[in-house]
Amino acid sequence: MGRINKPTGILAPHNARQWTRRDATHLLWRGQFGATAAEIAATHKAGLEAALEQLLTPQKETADFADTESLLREAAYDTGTVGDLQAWWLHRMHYTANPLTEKLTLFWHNHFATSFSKVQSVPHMAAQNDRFRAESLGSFRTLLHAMAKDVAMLIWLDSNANRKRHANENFAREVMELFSLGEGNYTEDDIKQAARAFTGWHVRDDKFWFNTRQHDVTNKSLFGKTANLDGGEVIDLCLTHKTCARFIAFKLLRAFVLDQPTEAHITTLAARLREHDFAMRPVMRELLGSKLFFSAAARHARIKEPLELTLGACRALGVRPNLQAINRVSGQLGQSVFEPATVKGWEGGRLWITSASLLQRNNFAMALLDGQMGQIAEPKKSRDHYRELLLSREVRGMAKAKDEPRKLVHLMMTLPEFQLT
Amino acid sequence: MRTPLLLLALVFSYAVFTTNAAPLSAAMPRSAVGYVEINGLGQRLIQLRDSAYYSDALDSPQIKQAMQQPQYEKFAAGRKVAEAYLGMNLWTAAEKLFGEIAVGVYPKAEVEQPDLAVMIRVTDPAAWAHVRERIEPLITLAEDTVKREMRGELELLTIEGKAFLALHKNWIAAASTAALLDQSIAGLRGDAKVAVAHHPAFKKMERDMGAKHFVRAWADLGFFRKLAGKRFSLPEKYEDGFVSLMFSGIIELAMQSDYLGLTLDADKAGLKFAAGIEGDPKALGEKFGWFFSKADTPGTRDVPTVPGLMGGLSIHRNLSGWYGKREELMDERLQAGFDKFESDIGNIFPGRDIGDDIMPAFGSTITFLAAKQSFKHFKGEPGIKLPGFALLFDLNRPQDGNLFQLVFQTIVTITNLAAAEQGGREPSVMTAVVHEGVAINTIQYLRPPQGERLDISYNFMPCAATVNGRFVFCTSLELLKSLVTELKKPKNPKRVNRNFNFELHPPALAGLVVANRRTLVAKSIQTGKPAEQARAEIQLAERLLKAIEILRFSTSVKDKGFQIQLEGKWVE
Amino acid sequence: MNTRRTFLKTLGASGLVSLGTRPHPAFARAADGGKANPDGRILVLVQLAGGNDGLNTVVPFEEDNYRKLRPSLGIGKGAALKLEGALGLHPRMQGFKELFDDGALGIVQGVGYPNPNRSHFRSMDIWHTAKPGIEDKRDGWIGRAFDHVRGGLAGKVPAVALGTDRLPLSLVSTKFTVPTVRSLRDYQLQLRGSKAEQAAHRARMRQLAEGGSAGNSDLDFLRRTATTALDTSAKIAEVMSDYKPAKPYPQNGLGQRLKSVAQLITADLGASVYFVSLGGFDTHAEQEGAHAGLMQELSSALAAFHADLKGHGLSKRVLTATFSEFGRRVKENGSLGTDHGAAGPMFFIGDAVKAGVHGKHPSLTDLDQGDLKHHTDFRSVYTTLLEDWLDWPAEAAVGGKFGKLKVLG
Repeated sequence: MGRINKPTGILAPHNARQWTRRDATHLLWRGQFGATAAEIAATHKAGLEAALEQLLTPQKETADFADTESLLREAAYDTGTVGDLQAWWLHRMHYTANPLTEKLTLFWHNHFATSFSKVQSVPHMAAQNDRFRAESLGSFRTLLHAMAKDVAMLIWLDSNANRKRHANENFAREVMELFSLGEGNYTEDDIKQAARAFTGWHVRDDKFWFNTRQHDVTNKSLFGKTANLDGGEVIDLCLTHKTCARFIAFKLLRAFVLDQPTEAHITTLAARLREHDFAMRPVMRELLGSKLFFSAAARHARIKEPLELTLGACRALGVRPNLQAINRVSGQLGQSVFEPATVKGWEGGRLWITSASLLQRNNFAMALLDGQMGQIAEPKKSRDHYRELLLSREVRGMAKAKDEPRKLVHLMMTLPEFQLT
Repeated sequence: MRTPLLLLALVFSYAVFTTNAAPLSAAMPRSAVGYVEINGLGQRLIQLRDSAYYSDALDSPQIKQAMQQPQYEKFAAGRKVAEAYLGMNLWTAAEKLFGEIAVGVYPKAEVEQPDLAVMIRVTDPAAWAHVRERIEPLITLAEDTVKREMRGELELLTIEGKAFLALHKNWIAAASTAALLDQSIAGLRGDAKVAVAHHPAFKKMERDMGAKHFVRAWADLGFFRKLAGKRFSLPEKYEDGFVSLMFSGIIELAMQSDYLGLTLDADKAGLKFAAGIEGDPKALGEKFGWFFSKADTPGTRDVPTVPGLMGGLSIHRNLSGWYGKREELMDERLQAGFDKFESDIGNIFPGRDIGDDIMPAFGSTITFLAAKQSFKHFKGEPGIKLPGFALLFDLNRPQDGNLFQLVFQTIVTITNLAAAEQGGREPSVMTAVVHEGVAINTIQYLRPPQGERLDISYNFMPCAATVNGRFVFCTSLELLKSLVTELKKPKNPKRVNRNFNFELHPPALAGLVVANRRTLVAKSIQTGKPAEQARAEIQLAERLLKAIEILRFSTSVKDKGFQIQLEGKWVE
Repeated sequence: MNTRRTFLKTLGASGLVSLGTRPHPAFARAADGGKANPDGRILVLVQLAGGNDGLNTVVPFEEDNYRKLRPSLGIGKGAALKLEGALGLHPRMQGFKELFDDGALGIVQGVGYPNPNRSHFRSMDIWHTAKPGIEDKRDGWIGRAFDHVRGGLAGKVPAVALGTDRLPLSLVSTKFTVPTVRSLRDYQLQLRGSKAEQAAHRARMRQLAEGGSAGNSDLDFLRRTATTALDTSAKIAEVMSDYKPAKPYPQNGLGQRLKSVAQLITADLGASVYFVSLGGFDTHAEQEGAHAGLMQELSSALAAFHADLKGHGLSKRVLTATFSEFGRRVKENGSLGTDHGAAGPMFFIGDAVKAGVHGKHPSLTDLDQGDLKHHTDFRSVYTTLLEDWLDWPAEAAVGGKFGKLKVLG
């Protein structure tokens, strides 16, 4: 393992001495699900390096959190319903001491979109989620290999139907199209070859089982290599394919930096991914500490996904969220965790926004202020306080606003500007 | 010799008269169509205040939170002022003043707001005098709205011409018209010749429901019948099958009853609420014969007492009779539904008619119960522990058990197929087990489920048996075994007559809450409550449940009437 | 690619152009490249769930086999409402009969697909995904069509499903979120306070949402969508309180749902496709009463819908089409009902419809395992609806090129 070269250009480190309050707000809203005024102040005081350290290194969870978290997880296992599992995860997202891990877990859940509607098992979905969490700041290489043997994934992609003499291409196609290379970067023949390498990767007794009798041991040709390839080797080949790093870079940029990354952005980040061999922690540290991340192009450049909107608003306004209500609203807005609507996950960006969903987002703001999303204290602070907390920018037309705080907060939360983070 | 005895009799009867003053119903003017009486309210309020439950309730988080609301603060302030002015605690004031209270309702010619007459007999005349003294100056000051007049020992007040009051050293009377007030005064003085107590319908109620109660209410149904039409605008043929099956007999009886009575008794031991109507079920004829048990027979069976019983309901209805008369009893629109039901069920019983072959298999009693179940037959337990349920049918003839057996088999096969499709549950085969000489049909899983937190569906293990003239469907093998033991006992000849019996055993329910406490707390946390609050609320629920020994809701056919009762017994 | 020339070729091939009459409207639009929702054209889909018995809906009362194979359920010559030739409608479909006489009802006979599947779920999935050969439930035919609409649909509400809890598969798109609306209340902006306070607050929201340039930044996009959203919700609020249907809607479920659709169309929501469903068609036993009730509900609701749209001047812009997952078996079964079948008719309602019966009635003698054989592939119908009515490319949506039908004009 050679020495890692330092990042240059847009991914070079941002000047830590130019550290403003708005920088802190920007980092926290991207690295967490929203931020409280106290958190912003503390992060501002601590500085960029300390803030990144906090986000990227494992923080100890409190005893209360551990207790409640296991209580909720037990309930989900006992009832076997997806609603309880969703509540468990939403609780983690809001109360964990490691919010960036949860954000990345959500990112990987979206990337490897698997739905409870077909898997129909809380333990399997939870195990998959645990795996995402364990590798969220670990290695994408390890994660991709793990997903090829993940029981929920195998059920979702009908792997048991992939047999020696009757290959089912579903899994091979999704590995290439959705998980590593992206649409159009492979041929139909590539899929056929890869499918044969995955034959016999089955589920038995609720566990992964390699069915040797159903495994095709003839030669397969993929991306220039011909041999008796098995699934693991196919995955390695996909990872070294020239489009893999670009594909992952594109998704990471959209999830954490800006909705519309340029070619330059993608190429630079892809190079860093390859340099670190898909190790997520160093890549995220570089990304979140980079010039690009703090540039004007990246500010207010992403449209909030439903969970960022709902949980973020709760956090900012100090609401103890009613997890069932938040889950329901996020589902109506199009993001129901553990139940992505399609195999492509949630494409996000502008697709979250239609006139109907904007109305629902506005109605969420009213419901939140009414106390239907959890107990809320009557807003009492100043216009500037809420403007900095919720919007982190100037808004024309609001400079001289004299509305009483509750109305003011509602207006701010229904501004087009509030939909951006 | 005779004189001392006479003197003794006089003294005795005088004592009786002064200690047992006539009930207020003997004072309330006759023409009432409704009447409510509360006896000993003051005493009860003090008992409540001194009880452990009251102080517990005050400690609960919800009440504490409510006390921080601005409305409560206003109320607390008002209370302080009133107590300071009256010179006594409000609880004491209530105790001393609220001896007996009665309200009579009188119809007006045009049916708008009825007239009311209210009487209060105080417990402690001295305290009442003290309060009157305090109120006097206020009445003087309010001379624009309150007109005062003295009539002998009575103080008469007229408030804005709308309310008329009479204050006496032992009682207070109020009415919405002057005439009513005069009649009330006459009654309270013992000068009334006729009062509500002499109303024939009222006398019938006292005969059927007793005279001494904490609260009692009475309505003259004859009057309302004249007002609303003979059938109170209810259709001859019911439009809802469930209402017809469960309530039609009671409704029909009520339509012929002269009175509707309600009584409530509450003390340290428990509470009892009853509603009664008059009428002879036999007078309704054959059309409703299937609804009522006979007054002198035991009626519906008791719920079998199995260990861990949480609740059960037992109902007497002759299903076959009801089904046979459905065209008389229910609306045309429902008949199509019954026909469809027959052709659907007919798939299970080919070659037989529902009305003539299947329905008569049902005896007169159906019982449903829920009890704690053990999971001895598994190597482990489900994560969520539900009670076992059982449904018992009386059989008309022992061989009818086979028909039910057929339904049981069909259900088990269908659920087995569904389980296989969904993939979550182990497939099962039908098998039989013998317990105390009775064959129990049940299922056996191909692989016995193992684990500490099994799927919730493992709470339901279908099993069935025919015991002593009854067929039992059950969801738990161990529960069915307990039931078999219980049902084999000879039938108890002495049973309370009940037509419908629903009973709850809250301590057993508390056991259910305890067994599933973690899940309940988790659900509460999901709604945003902090963990400690969620735990505290569940514990409060457990304590409340453990405080009530039994709650029973039942109906019974009496000789000349029908009563609905709700009883609760507190734990000592 | 010369759009005009290729389009003329298609017109010629399908015979839609006739000399001397006004040119097909699609012609003009093809020339300027087509936009999303041209002239505000709207397609309303009515799903008949359970498998409608087409043979007793459009009745060939003179056919021998019909009377022979349906001794109890058959509808006689006297009872059927005359259409044309020896065909009539179910006696309870007065609404449809009126529409037919007014020239607003078109019937396409014998619609189905090869190797008919007689399972509810599978067949309904096939109608929704337009993929009879493979099981691919990732998206639906209309959802796929969204992706290929020229000019894109970003920010717009492309379709609305009314009265259902789950989004119908045909509307599922891998890109767009289609709202399911249980009632119009979902479109109301929740505000607090007196009417005056609410109006003032709403005005402020509108003012703050405005002022976007026509640029393409996210903020501009959000501003545009926000102003549209506020305007739409205001219009819907108006429409909900003031709406006077031109003809009263029947008090049945379908009628009420269609009334909501009419309200949304009047409020100019901007959606191109609306979806409603009517269930209960799986009449295996005692069919007569149940089917009669459904026919009554269907025809009365649609007749009122059409009259209402006409009254509001919208009937030229709206086309309604009904579909069902299959027809039913020709021979009645032993429970006075019918079992799952194959081919069935589809109904089209609207001023733009070419009225009449299109296509021969499927043969009652040449049957496929006792079921009617189809002669029109449902994907032809879909292609017609997408290309001729909505002016959206159909090939990717239905997975191939299918000949179109002359049901419009």
